[in-house]
Amino acid sequence: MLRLVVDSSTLFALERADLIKFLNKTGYEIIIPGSVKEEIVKDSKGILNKVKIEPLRGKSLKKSKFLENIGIGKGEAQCCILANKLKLDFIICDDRKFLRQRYLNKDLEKIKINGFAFFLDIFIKKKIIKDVWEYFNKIIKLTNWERSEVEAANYVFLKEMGY
Amino acid sequence: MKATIVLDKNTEKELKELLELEKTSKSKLIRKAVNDLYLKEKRAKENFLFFVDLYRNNVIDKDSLFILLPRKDAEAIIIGTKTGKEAAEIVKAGS
Repeated sequence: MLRLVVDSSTLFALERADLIKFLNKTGYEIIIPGSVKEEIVKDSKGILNKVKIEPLRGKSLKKSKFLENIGIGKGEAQCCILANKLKLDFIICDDRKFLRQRYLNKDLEKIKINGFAFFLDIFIKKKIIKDVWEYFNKIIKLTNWERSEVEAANYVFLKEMGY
Repeated sequence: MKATIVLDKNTEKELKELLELEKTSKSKLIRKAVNDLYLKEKRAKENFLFFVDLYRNNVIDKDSLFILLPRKDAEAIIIGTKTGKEAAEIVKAGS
């Protein structure tokens, strides 16, 4: 089974749009690091039974601390290191601050990001949802991501994918 | 409407310079600045995704975005467009 490392920002967005229940129909195993689990436990325990938790240890944890020391959030830092450890091409993240940090720091550019629209694309292809823009607008509104890097990134992704 | 405004040293210096350059009154300059900000905010509020499309399709460049929109919106479009295009490339390459 293909694997995906997903940040809490995206999981919360999917939950608000009532799409979290479809996560196990994506064909991907959704993996989160320990720090993302902590964030989820605080706000929404319902997400936890849809994901696999893979805590970082040893060298991976040290690498993650290094990212945290340059200002990256704990959740995003652990997602990046976990994806690297699992040899995945990208992480799923909709954190505005992280998108900005990644753009401004050349060293972070190698970390590739996808957003919630990645799941919308899958849901459409699997005929789980019918109208991608209905859910795009719903998520943007419910998460207050209007006029943000996240709205622009997910919109451009969908347009580039032919929607 | 009458207003009392408090300026920091830098803004005061810029206002004095502008008064000389534009040869106009403080009130007119402030009205013009507010109007410029208002138009930029309105454009961004009502047409954010339209500007994303223009930039994505290389119809307008970064400089034009900064002229037409508030700084934060221009930055969001530039960062978001790069991120979104990369994201689509990854998915297309993988499928």
